[in-house]
Parts: sequence; C-alpha cells; structure tokens
Amino acid sequence: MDELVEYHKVNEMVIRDSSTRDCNMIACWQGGNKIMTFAPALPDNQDNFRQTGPVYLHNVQLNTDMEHPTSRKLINESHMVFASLQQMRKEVKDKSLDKSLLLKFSRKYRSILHSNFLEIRLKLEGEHENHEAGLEQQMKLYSMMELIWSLCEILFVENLPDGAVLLQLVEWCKWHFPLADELVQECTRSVDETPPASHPSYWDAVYALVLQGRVSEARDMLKLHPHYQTQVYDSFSSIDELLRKMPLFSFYQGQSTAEFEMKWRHWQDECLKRLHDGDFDTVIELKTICKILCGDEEVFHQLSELSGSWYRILITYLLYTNPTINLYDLHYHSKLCIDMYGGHTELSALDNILLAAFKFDVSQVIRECCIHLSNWWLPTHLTDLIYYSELIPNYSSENSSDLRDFLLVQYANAMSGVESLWDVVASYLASCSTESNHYLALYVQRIPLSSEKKVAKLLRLCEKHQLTTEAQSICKQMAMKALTNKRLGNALLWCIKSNDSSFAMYIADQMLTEYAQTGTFSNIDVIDYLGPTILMSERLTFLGKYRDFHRLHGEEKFEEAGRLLLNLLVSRIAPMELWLSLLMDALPLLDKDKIIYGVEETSSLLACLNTLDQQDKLFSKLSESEKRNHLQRIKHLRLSLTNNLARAIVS
Amino acid sequence: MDGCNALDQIYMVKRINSEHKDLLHDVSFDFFGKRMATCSSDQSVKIWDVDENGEWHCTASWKTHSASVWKVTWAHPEFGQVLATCSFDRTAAIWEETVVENSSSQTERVWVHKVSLVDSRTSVKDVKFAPKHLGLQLATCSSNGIIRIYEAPDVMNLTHWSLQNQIQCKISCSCLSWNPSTHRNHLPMIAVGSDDPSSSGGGKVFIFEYNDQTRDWSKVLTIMSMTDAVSDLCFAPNLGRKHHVLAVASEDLHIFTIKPSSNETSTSSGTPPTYNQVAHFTDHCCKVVNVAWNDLGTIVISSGDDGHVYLWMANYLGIWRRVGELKKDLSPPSDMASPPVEKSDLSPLPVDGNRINFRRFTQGRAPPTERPLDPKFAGAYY
Repeated sequence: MDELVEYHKVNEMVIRDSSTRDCNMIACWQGGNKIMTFAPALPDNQDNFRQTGPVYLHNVQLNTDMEHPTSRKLINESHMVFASLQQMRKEVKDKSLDKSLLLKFSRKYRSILHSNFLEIRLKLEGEHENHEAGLEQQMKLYSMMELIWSLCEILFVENLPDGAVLLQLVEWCKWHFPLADELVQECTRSVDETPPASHPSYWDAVYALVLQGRVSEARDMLKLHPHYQTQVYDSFSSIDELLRKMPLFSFYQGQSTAEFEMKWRHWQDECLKRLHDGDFDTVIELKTICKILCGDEEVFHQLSELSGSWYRILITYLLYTNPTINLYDLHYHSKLCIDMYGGHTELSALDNILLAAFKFDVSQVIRECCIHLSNWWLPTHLTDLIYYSELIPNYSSENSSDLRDFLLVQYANAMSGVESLWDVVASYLASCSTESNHYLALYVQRIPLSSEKKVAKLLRLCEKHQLTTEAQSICKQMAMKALTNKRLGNALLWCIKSNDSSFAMYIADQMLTEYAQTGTFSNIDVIDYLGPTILMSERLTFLGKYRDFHRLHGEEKFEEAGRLLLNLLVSRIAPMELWLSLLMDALPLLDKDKIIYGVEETSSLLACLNTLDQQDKLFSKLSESEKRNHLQRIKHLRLSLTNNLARAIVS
Repeated sequence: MDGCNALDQIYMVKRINSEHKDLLHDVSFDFFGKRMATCSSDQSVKIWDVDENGEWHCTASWKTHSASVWKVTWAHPEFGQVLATCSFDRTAAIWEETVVENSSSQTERVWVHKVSLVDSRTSVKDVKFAPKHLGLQLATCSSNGIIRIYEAPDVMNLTHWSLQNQIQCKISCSCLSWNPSTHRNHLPMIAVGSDDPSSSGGGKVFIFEYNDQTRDWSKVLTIMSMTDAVSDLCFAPNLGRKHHVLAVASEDLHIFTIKPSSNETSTSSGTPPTYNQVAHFTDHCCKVVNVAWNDLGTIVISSGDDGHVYLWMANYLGIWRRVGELKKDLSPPSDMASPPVEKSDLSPLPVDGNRINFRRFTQGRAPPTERPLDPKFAGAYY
C-alpha cells in the first residue's frame, strides 16, 4: 500500500525545456486544472539578447485522475447518489437524516466503488500485457477507498447502540481480506490428486478461518482431516465441540451484554481447562487452534503472517479476548496490535487513515484522506454524508471556511478540467451551504457557451439558483456573438433576454440604418414575436410600431395606418433622422380617393414638416447630393400636404 | 521507475511551439480558457485557439507595437473579442476581432487596431480591464509611476476611449490588479505594485479606492511591510467574503487579506482599509516573478526566477500550504523519446528572419510599402 505515499510525493514534476538559456519559468492558469508555462524574457534585456531557437510553451495538466475514463463512471454515478441525498435533505427539512437512511446512501456509494473496482479488474484480466500503466493503480486506489469507506460506514454511520461493533468488523475483515477463502480453495481444488488434509496450506486455511471467527467453516475443514472420527471422542471431537459451542454476540438476538459475557466466560474457561488438561497435546495444530480460542497473545504473534496487518489482528484479538468491545475502546487495543507489527514508525498512509478511524477521530480521517488519496472523492462524499450528524467539530474563524464547502469546492475544481462534466461540477458547487452561490456564480461565468442548447441549459441553471447577473451576462455575450456575425434578429432576441435597453437600442438603430440604406428589413419578423418586451427601449418600440404601420398598409387598412404614422410623428417616438422617410410614407395615403387625414391631422403633419425643415444640424450632416434630394422631397411633401389640406377643408 | 509511472498519470505535458521569434513576456487566456494570446519581445501578438482535442493552433499573428510587448489581456466577452496590449514603446493599444468579408466573399475574422493610448511618456508596464460590472474600463501603469484609468463610454465604439483619471504614484510601477468583488458595499479598488529597487523607499504595494462623491481615485492604503521590489500582484476572486485576498510576488510570496473601508455612511470613507498578512513563503530561493489565481480562487500559483513553479492552497482553516511544484530541467533533450508524456514538436522553425511576414490588420493605416527595386533592375526585362 505504498503507492499512497507516492501519490503524495509526486506532486512535483519536471518540464524539459532546453530551448532557452535562462532557467526561469512563468506559469499562468488556463482554467480548470490546466496551466501554461513559458520562459519569460527578462524585463531589462531590451533588445540586447535575441532568442535564436524556437520558443516553447508547455501546457501542463494537473491531476488528470478525474479525466480517466474509469473515473467517469464513478463521477456520474456518485453524483446521482449525491444529488438524491441533497434532495432528501431538502424534502425532510432535517439535515441530519435518519441513520437508516444515511446507511442506505452510504451503501449506495460503496456499491459504486465496488462495481468500479470490479470493472477495472475485469479490464485488467481481459488485456494481459498492453493495459494502461495507470489502470492497476486505479484498481488499487479503488480497493483502498472501499476499505476505508466500509470501515467508516461501520464506525461512523451505522454506529450501533452500545457501540458493539465487533461483529461488523469481523464481517469487514471477511469481505476485504479473502485470504482464508483463497487458502480453502487451494486445498479443496486439488481434491482428485491429493486429499485436502495433506495439502501444505491445509492448516493455514483452518487457522485463517478461525482467526476470522468463521467457526462453522473451520469445522467443515476439520472434517476433511483423515483422523477426524465422529464415533470416537478424541482431540478432534473436542475442538469441534468447542468451536460449535462458541457463543457469538449479536445485538439483534436480544441478548443482554451481561448474559453474553457470562456465557462467554464459561466457554472460554472450558477451552482453557481442556488446553491445560492436555486434550490437544497429540495434535500440535489443534493446540494452536485452542490457544487462539483462549485468546493467547503469543499465538497471535506466531500467526501474524496469516493476519497480514495490525488491524486484522486487532479484530481477531478482540474477538477472542473482548468480544463485547465498545466502539470507543478500540483505540486502546489498536496500540497493542500496532506494536506487534513494528510500532508506529512502520505505519503507512492507509494505516494512519484506518488508525484515525479506530480512534473515532472523524476530522483526522478526513484530513489524512485529503493528504494521501489522489482524488477528493472519498473525503468529499464521506464528509457530506456525516456532516450534519455532529461528528465533525465545526471550526469557524474569519479566514476559515466550512469544511463541507471546502471539500465540495475542491472536488468540483478537480473535475472542472473536463468540459463535459460542467453540469456535475455546477451541481456540487450549488450544494455549498453558504447563503449565496458565490462559487457557482464564479464557475458559471467560465463555462464555454459552445452551443445554443448548452446556453439554454445554463440559463435554466442560473434561473434555478437566482443568478440573475450571470444569466444576463450570458445573454449579452450571445447577443454580442450574433452581432459580430451580423445576425441582427438573433442578437436582438438575446439582448432582450439580457434586459439591456441601451444595447437593444443599438441593434434597433442598426436595423433602421439597414432599412434606410436598402429599403428592407432583413430580420424584421423577430419584431412580431416580441410582445410587451418591445417597450424595453424607445427605439425598439418605434421599430415595432413602424413595422405595424407597414403591415396595416399592406393589408390596405389605410385609415388605421395613417393614424399610426401620425402618432409616431406627433409623439416624437421616431428619431428625427427618420422623419423624412415617415413623411414620405404618408404620401401614398394622401393620394387615396377617401380623405384619410382631416384638417387637424394635416396641419400636424405640416407642423412636423416645418420642424424638420428647421433642423439645420441634421441637414448639415448630409452630403451634397443628399441635401438636394432632401430639399426636393420637402418641397414635394409640402405641396401634397397643402393639396390635402385644401381637399379636407372643402369636404 | 515506478514513481515515474505515477507521475505520468498525474500530469500531462504538451509542448507547443510558440513560433515567436523571441522570448515571451506574457500569456493570457480568455474567460473560458479556449483562446490564448501571447506577446513577445519580437513586438508581435499571437492568438491561439484550442480544438476539441486540446491542441492549440495559432489563428492570428500581427505586429502590435514598435517595441517589446509587455502584457496582453482580454476584455470580458460581453464586450466582444477585445484585447489590450502595452509596450515599451510607451503606448497601450486596443484590438478587436471583427468579421469581414474578404474578396472571395467569404467571412474572415481579423484583428483590427481600435486605438492607441498614447498619454504615457514612459514604458507602459501593465494593462488590465476592470471587472465587467464597472463597465468597459481599463487601467494602465507606467514606469514613471502614473496610473491611468480609461473608459469607453460607448461599448459599441471602441475607437473612443476617454482618460478618466490619472493617479501619480511618484514611484516606478510594475503591475496592477483590479479587485473583482461585485459586492455593492465594496468600492472599486486597484492594487499597484512598484519595482523600485531601493528598499528604503517604504512600502511597495498601494491600494487605491474610487470615491463616487469626488469621482476620483485615492490612495487608501500602503502595505508598509513590502519594502522589496514587487514584480506581480493579483486579487483573488471574491467569494462573498467580507475581506479581499491579495497575492504579491516580491522577493518572497506574500498573501494578504484586506478589509475594505466601511462606507455605510457613504461619505468620504469612514475607516481606512486594513491589511493582514496571512501567508509568507520563502520557498522560492530567489525573486518571485509571477502570481496567478485559478478560477475559483482556491489555488494560487507562483513562479520564481529559479525555474520553479509552486502551487499553494489554503485548507478550510485558512492555513496555506504548498500542494505542488513544477520544475524546469535545462538538460539537453537526449532522452526525449523515453518520456511518452511529452509530445515533442521539434519541427524546425521556418527560417525567415524578416518581420515583413507579419500580417497587420491596422485600420486606416496603409500596409507596409514594398521595398523599391534596386535601381539597376528597374528597367530590366525578365
């Protein structure tokens, strides 16, 4: 399990760059987990040193653990569990959920870990030679995480009343260290050639079973021994009886601790008696088994190779000396077993994590996990699971942040290098407990707006978390993008979404300029769908009304069209630059048989024309030919309007 | 070499030929990390775009100044694709990418020179756009110690920038950073560092705040403990914190928290801001030249003159710690083939020394004139 230590040390890398003379290097963030480094020019060597060779940049990607295809599954599946856990918290309105519920979630996480582990193992078995170098390490990492998680589940989540945890711990050992099963299999597989009892590892298999407290299986193994006779009462029958009668403490059987302890003492006295009576002196192996049953410390030393590690011997030791051990006393006994394996100095990173768990020091477990595991998956999800059960002391000072938030952000940050995981990252950041979503707000601004579909999803996310400014900024960017690509209609739509009236006015102006130049509106159909948002900008309102006028005119509703046009002029909504065009639009209405503009209306139009005529400033901006044109039109208009006035008076 | 395997997995390095003809001064990424701008002593700026496979391609390159380009920086994408550069030639310049139709009526993206800001009498050392909630504003600092704040009143017309403020620092400035906080109680703030070499000159980091009443920037704080020359400084993204976090690269790496002035009364600032040093690292054995925060403001990266780059992170108790290191190896790449992580792009640079090859997309200015033919060839028949 040394690779843990290596992960820690490895946060260091070398970039080979011999292209430059200088040894200095500057790094800047690309975003996510990517860094760009380059050799900088010294600020004071202006022009006296010229680089000769090519100049290189180096794109460094840190901690690509999360980008591994095998991690994808872990990330996505655990995100589902995480999201439903948050949802549950919201629904129940009690953040510290019921223990049974927490246990359910914990098992879900654990099964994800296990299925990932199996998948990698399958992959490794499939391709023998040319598998990726990292795959094996990934597998080891997963198995380690599973080991830690399941121990934490027993100690922190399940946490039975009375703190009686031993049976769970025995199960934990059985599940994670299948050495006994392997040995048994080894013995029984070769049944055709040699009887299992004469297999060299036969006794090791029996010891291993007894050490893990699997008495019935041990008895089955013993029955395979040729000396085992049911009829005669000998040493084999004696040990069989002891094994059969071994009491097991289980909280669920409704036994009281005292009752059990009495039974247990009675049974162990019997074991000791038989050992001293010399029942097993003839078969030395059986004597060893009996010594185990008696909880003899010496024999554990002898068998330390079969146990493999201090935490496994700890559980065996407790099983045979102190079966009703309380959760909080584990720490005291662990010391003894560690000494058996060379003391504290020999402890690896994993040992330290497990030791912290046995000490029931949750914050220490999380701290060690953060330092030693190469990803943030385990500490983040574990912390989130048990955060509200008051196991973790809450520090708060000015500079510190909430531990759960801190880990969520770290985990999300590690994933942010993978662009396709943006919604997962956002979901974790959104689960931070700080009142407003500052982290989410920061992250949302950095998500590339690669497609309209993604933008729509992103906007929904912003809406859900009340990130109004960010949503507006996104819309603005989209509007800007559309504008640079000369898609005015699209730009207008985005800009209305972003609620930016000055920008809307700019785009409306662009549309009107286009109209003034070409006589047609290219994207005008957008205007028809705007509805009340058209009131956002004065210019946009005008554009909408003007569009209405064209439609009415087209539908030959001349009276209404005429009234609208007059309104546009009189209310001064129309920009001065366009007045002449508007008045020209009125010309065909004057030629109609029916009088559309009465005396009053015609006078208003004439007044407008006079105002326009007096706009020297506007006039001076025009070119020579335009000036001539302008004057001619005004003259023409005045004539027509006067004629119309005369007609109106007469009728 | 088991350790090396683990290393391969954790880091990936891609080598990119910058195609610049001289060493780089600055590399800057757009808001999404999808585009990169590089500037160099060869007076040019190059724009790079990344493709789906993470490969960088140079998509534009042009001569921007008539001297070394110190810094290049992107404006917020809300304002379009806009760059600002500053140079030894005493100017800062604004560039915008626009879509034009070329002769074969296909659309093409070109970078157009919008304006040169020529107010400075000395080399312009740094240029930074303000956070977007302050509008399209730009701050420059020059080596004679003048900080200038420009604003584009019409964001659709980038050819017009007005000089809003001029602040006299009286000491050579090397770097500046806008405070990105969007909190409504926080006044706009700029931190400026000085590279003045004399250590007797007092503090080298100044904090300026904008006052709405007087419509002026004023110095509100000098970090007196920073007496060494400052090469770079950078505010961390503000996460709704009450204080700001500022990383300073000097002889060592320093991280400060700055409590902004309380402006509840909103009259001329009630209490001046205060600062507190939360971390000081001497791991770089020599000068620290550059600091940068990641997007979420969780990791700060510092580069030293010794070819080491360190990554720093604070744990949840606010205690800073080194979490990573990049080292430069100057040894000749004899074993280039062995580490598979390094994609070697060793294709030799096209040998052309003349700078005429740079395309310039400068609006209004004629392209460089063709060199006249040597008179003795002028009338020749070929």
